[in-house]
Amino acid sequence: MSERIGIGEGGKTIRQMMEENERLYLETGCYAGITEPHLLKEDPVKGELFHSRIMASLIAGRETTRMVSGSPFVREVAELCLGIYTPEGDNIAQSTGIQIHIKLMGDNIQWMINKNYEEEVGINDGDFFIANEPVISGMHAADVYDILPIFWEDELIGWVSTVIMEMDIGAVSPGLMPTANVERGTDGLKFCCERIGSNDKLNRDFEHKIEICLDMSDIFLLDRKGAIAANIRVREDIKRIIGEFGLDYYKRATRELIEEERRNQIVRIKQRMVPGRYRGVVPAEFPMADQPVSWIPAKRDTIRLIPIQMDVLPSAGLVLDFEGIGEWGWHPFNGTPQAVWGGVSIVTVQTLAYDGRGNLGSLLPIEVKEPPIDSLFNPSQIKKLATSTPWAPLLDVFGMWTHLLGIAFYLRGFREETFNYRSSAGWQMAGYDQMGNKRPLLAAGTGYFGPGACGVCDGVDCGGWLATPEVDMGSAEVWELFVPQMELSHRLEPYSVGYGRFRSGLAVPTVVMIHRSQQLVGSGALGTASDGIIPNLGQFGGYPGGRRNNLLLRYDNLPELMEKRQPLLHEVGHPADLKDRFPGQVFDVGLIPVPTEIYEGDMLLSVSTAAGGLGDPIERDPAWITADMDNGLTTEWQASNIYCVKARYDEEEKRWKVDEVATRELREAKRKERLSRGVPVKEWWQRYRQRLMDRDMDDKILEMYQSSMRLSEAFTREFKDFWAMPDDLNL
Amino acid sequence: MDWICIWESLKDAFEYWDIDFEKQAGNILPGVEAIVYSGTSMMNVLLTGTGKKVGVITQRGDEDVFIHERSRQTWTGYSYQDVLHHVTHHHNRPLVPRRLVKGVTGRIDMFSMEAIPLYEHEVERAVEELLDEGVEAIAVSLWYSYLNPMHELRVSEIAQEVMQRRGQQVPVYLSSQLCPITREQPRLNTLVLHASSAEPGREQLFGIESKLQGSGYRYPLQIVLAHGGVTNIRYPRLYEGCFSGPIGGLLGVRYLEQEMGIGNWVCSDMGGTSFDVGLIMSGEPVMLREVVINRRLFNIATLLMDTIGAGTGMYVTIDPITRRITVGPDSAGADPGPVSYDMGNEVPTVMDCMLIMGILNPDNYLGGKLKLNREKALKAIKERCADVLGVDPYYIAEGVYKLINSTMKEHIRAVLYARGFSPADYCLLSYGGAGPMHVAGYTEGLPFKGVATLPYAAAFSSFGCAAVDISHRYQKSTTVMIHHGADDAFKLMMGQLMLNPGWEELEKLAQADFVAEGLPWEQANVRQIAYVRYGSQMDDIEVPSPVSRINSAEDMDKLIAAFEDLYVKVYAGVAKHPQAGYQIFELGLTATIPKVKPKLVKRPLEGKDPPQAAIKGEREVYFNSEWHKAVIYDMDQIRPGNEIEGIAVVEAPATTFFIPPGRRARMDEWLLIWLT
Repeated sequence: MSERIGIGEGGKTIRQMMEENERLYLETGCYAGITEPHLLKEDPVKGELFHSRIMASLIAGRETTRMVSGSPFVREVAELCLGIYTPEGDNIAQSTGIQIHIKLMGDNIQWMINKNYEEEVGINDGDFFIANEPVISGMHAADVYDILPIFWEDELIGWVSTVIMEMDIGAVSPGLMPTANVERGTDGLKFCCERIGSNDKLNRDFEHKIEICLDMSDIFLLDRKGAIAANIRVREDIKRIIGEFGLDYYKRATRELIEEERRNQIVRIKQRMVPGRYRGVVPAEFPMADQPVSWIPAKRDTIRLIPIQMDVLPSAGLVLDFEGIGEWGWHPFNGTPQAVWGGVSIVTVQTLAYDGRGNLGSLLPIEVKEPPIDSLFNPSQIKKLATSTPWAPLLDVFGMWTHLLGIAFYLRGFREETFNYRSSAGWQMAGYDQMGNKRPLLAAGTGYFGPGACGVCDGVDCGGWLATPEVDMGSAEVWELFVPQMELSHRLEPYSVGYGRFRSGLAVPTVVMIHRSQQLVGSGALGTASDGIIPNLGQFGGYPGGRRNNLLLRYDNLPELMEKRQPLLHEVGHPADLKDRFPGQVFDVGLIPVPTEIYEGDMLLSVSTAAGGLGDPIERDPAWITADMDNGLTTEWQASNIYCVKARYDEEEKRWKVDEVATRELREAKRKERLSRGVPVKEWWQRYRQRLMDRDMDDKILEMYQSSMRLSEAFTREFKDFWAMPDDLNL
Repeated sequence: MDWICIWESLKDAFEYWDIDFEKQAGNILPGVEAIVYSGTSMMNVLLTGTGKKVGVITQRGDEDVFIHERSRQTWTGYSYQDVLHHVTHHHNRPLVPRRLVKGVTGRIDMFSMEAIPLYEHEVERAVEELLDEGVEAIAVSLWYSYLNPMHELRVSEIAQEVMQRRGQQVPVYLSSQLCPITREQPRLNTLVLHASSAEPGREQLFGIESKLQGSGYRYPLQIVLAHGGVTNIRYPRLYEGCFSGPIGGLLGVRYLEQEMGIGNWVCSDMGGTSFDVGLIMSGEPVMLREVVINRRLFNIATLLMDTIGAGTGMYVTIDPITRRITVGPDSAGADPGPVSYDMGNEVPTVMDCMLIMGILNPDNYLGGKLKLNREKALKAIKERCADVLGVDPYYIAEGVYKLINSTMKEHIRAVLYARGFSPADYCLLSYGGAGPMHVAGYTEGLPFKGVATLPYAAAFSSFGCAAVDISHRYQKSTTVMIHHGADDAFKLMMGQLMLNPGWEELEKLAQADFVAEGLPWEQANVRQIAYVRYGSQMDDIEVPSPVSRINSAEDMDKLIAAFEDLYVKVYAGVAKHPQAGYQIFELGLTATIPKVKPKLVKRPLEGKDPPQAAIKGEREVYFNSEWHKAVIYDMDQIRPGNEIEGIAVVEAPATTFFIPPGRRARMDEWLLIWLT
């Protein structure tokens, strides 16, 4: 027997194993060179049993984390996920939850392998590692990974990793997704795959550090302990599984699961999509001019263009390309190529690979072309740049990808698979909670989003969120234990809708009153960066969803209102006339509110957006519209002006009824009006070309195009060709 | 759940001993120690939306609560695959229509203080509007009312005033009195369940009790509760008894397991309206404090049991627009029952389909007590379904058999796979009146270790209730916060102020209930419970207290040590976090008295061939689009060791076991019949 050099199979180092794995994949096109997954084929029942054992362990592990955790994110809305990995860091299986991290957790492991942790840091049975630096891997700093190696005797045979989204990472501005940080040092506490425990014990010095640095140290530590307890449980389960199935079977079958899934994914793409090129574009706004940042050049508002192109290849591969994306900026919304993979993962498992066998194999047929160097999603040259909140543009980008996938499914006849996502959220706060503790706080409460219309029915009201398939808004009575607020409304907001023959789901806005806090600062919203310029997610004639509004409302005399039993604000209604309806001051604080002092009794509003509708709204069945009106989900104005349905309220029967004759006339008139507005494409093109030549546009839009052109010759060429611009003319 | 069914069940049972219960009831019932009701009727009322018309008063701004639900209710209970697959997510039919939900301004905060005064004029208007709508009950659930009920109490007073003025009276139910547990949406669902389904059920239970007592029964009627205990039907939180039927079966499987030593079981119970699936893992049922029933969350401590609407009473219709065959969700119930009952219903049901296929014997239903009208069932299926689609009525009947089996199979798959479990690690037991008729269909393709049913499948839930001790369980909120490094005096003070009085109060309640039920309190095994967590944690652990009272700091240390011992077993030592201190927000108490249980007898195995007396004859049975000659057996004559090849039908007075072609059944020494 040869003397062991590395901790991998047969005395190899795990870096050697990883390199060999990559070589085999390149040579054969099959994961780990497995051209024939015979083990799973020869005895499929045994294979099924093996997979279900691993899944059972991961799901039970996830429940362990939920029970131990101190965070409502974990307990109430399950913002966590567990995955099991090969020694090379490739995902074999994962629990339910935020499945963004299939590849990201593995990328952390592979970073450790590439940095030669095996020799320079040491990887031992019983070690705990922690990571949350998106430059290594991850979506944003709030996602904290706990990683544990699994040894069988003295051989490393895999890893288990848990990810939890934390409420507090100690950033310079309030919240878990800070918005007033522009340099990496202000993102909050960062961990670069650091060892925080050994021999199954958490290091006491790590606990001291957290207790000193974080306002919510107890919750952060309990989350670590929950994650580590789950990891240990899974590790021990895996040892039991190996005891039952044998080590050789385990090693081979885990790799066959990945290869089998790669093949399954190709079949799904072939079955459900039409080959071709699908394109969309997202304009992302980064309003930083008024943010209190110390790095003065950061104080400017910018817009960046993010084109997204999906090629469905005849070979059933998918290629995503961001050619034409604009440049990075001094703001926290920069992403990394790894973060882009997070979006790819979560959309993939919700649209294609949802049969419970999702793993790295689901992603292997997908190629993501590396975004250009120095672009918003690849700011590699700027080492100190903030990358804490890339969700803002990424939510829109991957909402757009669901839209493109939906078109591809629809064209193939899978109408019921068509839908899309759009997301936004509300305020964040920092200050003193109702118990007198200073801490970052989230005011999103239980507000939630409306996903887009499906190809055969309306979207699910308050039931969709791109980041996790297990959408849940939690309980107000639990949220209010943590945040000095009272939720005053859970009403579905009619104006959040994306109109269409099938409408989007409606959103529930955040409507909270600040309660029992000595001092608070409200600031930047987490979520999307596209509420100023809404990306068109309406499908086949459907409209995009509504605009998000962030408002701060201050009653003139709240005690008097209550004394006189006058109405408080429980319904948002149309934001345009809110000023007339609200007995006090209304401040529109913009897309990403700058830090603002807020007081007891103040109300924070954030109307979440819904995604797009599908089909022409004037083809919507009038009976569905009156049914929505009966439930307060569609207003009379919307019925008449958007859906062109004339309805009257029957006082006796207490329900809305359609006036069929008036409706027919209204719809006919709308069709005629549309025709009268229409112009030939050529005419439209000439008019807009002239505007371009005259630079007749907002400075920020002009700079947006300039930014994309600075990075991409191909984009510049296509843009100029389309608009027939002279070669020597630059915008 | 009506008196006739229970009386008939008693008669059936006594027939086995050749006792004419009708004549002997007056002699028998005075000697009976306990009669325990266990059934699914109250839950069926909820699932089919046929309960009382309930109006809801909630927090202003929360009126859309039944439309948007907890978002989780759009996917909860799904299999892993469907959880991931967004387009399968959808909302439930609202438990209460939007126009019957009224919001009122006012607010209690998390400190139990009034933050916004109650706007009484809004309450008055809400009550008026609900009464105008003709509601039969009003359910009031305001946020944090479990900490401070003042607003709910005032709403109740105003409602009484309005009703008095109008000369009307409907019951008003308060969440603070009936379900004082945190999380507003499961609490409201539970309250609506109580108001719409449990309270009407109580009226029926009183009727049954009165009939029994009229025949000499000396004690109050009892009911099995969802957590496995038994209590008097006057118990205020009767909604805990809404799931007692399926729970009885689960308790029965646990008892069987103790005798037979098979650790992991999937328990499946099919009746007239619902199909319930529960798990026994390593011999123990799984306990939940927040339970999902039919994709909705309820705040009820219960043994794990997932239920969907799928039963033999479900209507079979053709959708007029899509022309799809639709099974349920509405059900004919026991009255008027299926078309073949000949009691007025003309819409065919699943059971009518089984009848025309020849699986059910029209002359053997309820042991022949109720003759089924096969011709009428065939006519209804033909006219209302087959002719609409231009197909053969038997094609419809078999299609319905396959559809409902598929629904149940997917439900079992969801229950197992949602937890990551594999059927290969479990045996499945099928019971309930309709379970054996469908078990071959709903387990087909699922690789269970074994699939079994029993001769007494229809009465198995009752068997389970008989196999459980008399047990009451009580809960109460408290606030114990022991910071890290707290001194002995503080620990003692917390124990004496917050724990001991709570346990004393619960004991008094338990004692009063025991006395009312005629049970010897001095024989009760009383166990104190505390729900302990580390400070900042969201979840706690049920800790049986090693001491009955906290009389010293050491007693508190013992309780904390019991918590940490349990915690480490569940979550591993690394998850301990004593520096955050300890919190107890809920206390509990169980009081139990052992009771006589049925004795299981292991019997000697006999030959493979059933005795000649077991063969009742032959019958044509429609299956796989053709008619087969099936042998009909008498369940009572089947002996341990006997084997039966499909296609066959085994008839018992209260159930029918169908063995399709290619399948085989074998009775073992415990009288379990294994289907292979």
